[in-house]
Amino acid sequence: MRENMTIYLTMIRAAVLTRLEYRADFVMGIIGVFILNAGTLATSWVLLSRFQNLHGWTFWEIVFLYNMWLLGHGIRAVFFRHINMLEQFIVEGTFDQILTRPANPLVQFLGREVHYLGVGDVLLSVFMLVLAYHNLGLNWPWWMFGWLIVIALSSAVVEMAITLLLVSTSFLTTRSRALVNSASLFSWGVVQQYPVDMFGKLLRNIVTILLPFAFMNYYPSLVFLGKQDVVPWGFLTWYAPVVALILLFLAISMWNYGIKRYQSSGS
Amino acid sequence: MSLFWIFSRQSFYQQSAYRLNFWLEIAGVMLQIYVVYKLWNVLFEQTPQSFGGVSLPQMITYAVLGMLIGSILNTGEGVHTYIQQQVRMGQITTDLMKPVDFIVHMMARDFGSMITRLVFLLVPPLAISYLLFDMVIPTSPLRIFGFVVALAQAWVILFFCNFMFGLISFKTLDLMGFSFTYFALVRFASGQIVPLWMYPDVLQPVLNFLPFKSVFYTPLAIYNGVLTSSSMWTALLTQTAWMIGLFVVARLIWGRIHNSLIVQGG
Repeated sequence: MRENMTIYLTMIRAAVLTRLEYRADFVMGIIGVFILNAGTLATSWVLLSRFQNLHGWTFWEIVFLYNMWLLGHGIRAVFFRHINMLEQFIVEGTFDQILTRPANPLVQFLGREVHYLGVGDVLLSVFMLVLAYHNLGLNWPWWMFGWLIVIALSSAVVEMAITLLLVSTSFLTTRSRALVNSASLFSWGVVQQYPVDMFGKLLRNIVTILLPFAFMNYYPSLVFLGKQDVVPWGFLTWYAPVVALILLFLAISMWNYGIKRYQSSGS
Repeated sequence: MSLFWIFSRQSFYQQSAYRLNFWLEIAGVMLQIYVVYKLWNVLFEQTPQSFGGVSLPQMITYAVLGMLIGSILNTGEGVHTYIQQQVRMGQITTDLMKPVDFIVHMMARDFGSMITRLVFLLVPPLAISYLLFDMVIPTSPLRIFGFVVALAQAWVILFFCNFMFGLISFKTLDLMGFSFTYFALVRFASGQIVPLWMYPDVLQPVLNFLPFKSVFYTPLAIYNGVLTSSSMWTALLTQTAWMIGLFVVARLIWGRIHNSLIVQGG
C-alpha cells in the first residue's frame, strides 16, 4: 500500500511537470471551461428568470447543485480523466507496456497523466459555490464546511469509480467507449443540472442505485440547502461517502477480475 | 454532381459501421428526450401562463425535435473537427490535391454524414416519441414545406459556420479551447434547448444579430406552429440571406488561407 502510494505520487509529479510545458494550452483551456459552464448556467438562468423555480428549486439552488457536481467532476477530471481511454490503451498496445513493469498496473494506469482542464472546473465551481452561498443567505455551522470537503472528494470518487468499473469491461470485450459514454449521460445529462426529484421513479432509481451519480451532487445538496426534510429520501444525504467507498471497492474488484482474463490485442 | 454523391456515400458507410454504438446512441437520445419532456411538463404544470399562449404539446414538440435535430445539426463533430484532424496530421494535403473544389468536397462529406444521422438517429427516435408523448403534427402542406426548407437552409448555415470555425485550425493547429466557446455559444444562442421567445428582452437584439437563431429556432418554431404565414416567410428569407452571406465570407477567407498556405512535412 505504502509502496503503491510512493509510486503514484512520483508518477503524478512527473505528469504535472510534463503538463506545465504547455502554458498557452493551459490558459486557453481554462477560459474554454469557464465559457462552456457559463453557457449551461446561462440557459438555467433564462429558464428560471421566467419560471422562478424548477420543482421547488430556485436559480441559486440550481447553481449550487450544478457546482457541487462540477467540483467533484473537476477533481476527478484532474487526476482520472484518462481512465476513459483504457480501451484505446488496450487497442494500441500501450497497456502492455504497463504490464511489463514491476509495479501494480492499476497504480501505474491511474498515475499516468494529469489534466489541466479540471483545474478550470474546480476554480469555477468553488467561486460559484461561494456566490450561491451568499445569494441564498446560508449560514452553516463550522463543521458543514468540513463536510463539504468530504463530499467534494466523495463526488470525485463516485464518478471515478463508476467510470473505472465500466471501462474495466474492455479487458473482456476490448470495447467500452460507447458504454461509458451512454452511462455518463446520466451524469452530465441528468443529475448535473436538474433536481432528481422532478423525474419519475424509474430514472430516480437508476441514478440512485444502478448508476448512483445522484450521490455526486443531488443527495449531498439536500443537507447543504436545508432540504433534507422536503423529500422522503432526505436521509440518503449522509450516505454519499459510504456509496463512494462501496463503488470504489466494486470498481477495483472489477478491474482485478478483468485484468486476470485480459489477453493482449497483440498490436 | 456525381462526385458529390460518391463522397456522400462514402461518409454514409463510415458512419453506419458500428452497430452496438448505434443502439447505445439511440438509448442516449431517448434519455435526453425524456429529460426535456419531463422538464417542460414540470414547468408547464407550475405556471402555464408563462408560456404566452403556447400549448404543452407544442412545447414538447419543440423540445423533443430540438434534441433530435441536434444530432444532425452538430457542433460537436463535423467539418470543423475533420479539418482540424487533417491539418494536425498533415493530411490536409491529400484533400487539397483532389481535383474537386475544397468547399464542395467538404460539403459532400458533411451531407453524407448528415443524411446517415437523419435516417438512423432522427427518424426512429422521432417515431418513438410520437408514440409516447402528446406532440403536434404539422398538417398544412405549407408548414411542412416551410419546415423542410428551413431545415435544409439551417444545415447549410451551420455547415458554413462550422467550416469557418474549422479554418481557425490552419492558424492554431488546435481547436480545443475555442471549441468549448463555440459549442456553448451555439447551444445558448440557437434556441435548441429553450425557445428564444422565452429569453429576456435585453438579449433579443444579440440573438437576432447572430446566425444561430436561423439554425435551430427557425425550423423548430415553424414545425410546432409558432412561426406562421408572414413571420414564417420572413424567417425563411432571413435564413437565405445568412446562407448567401456566410457562403461569400467563407469563400473569401478560404481563398486567402489557401493562397498563403504552407503545409509542413506531411
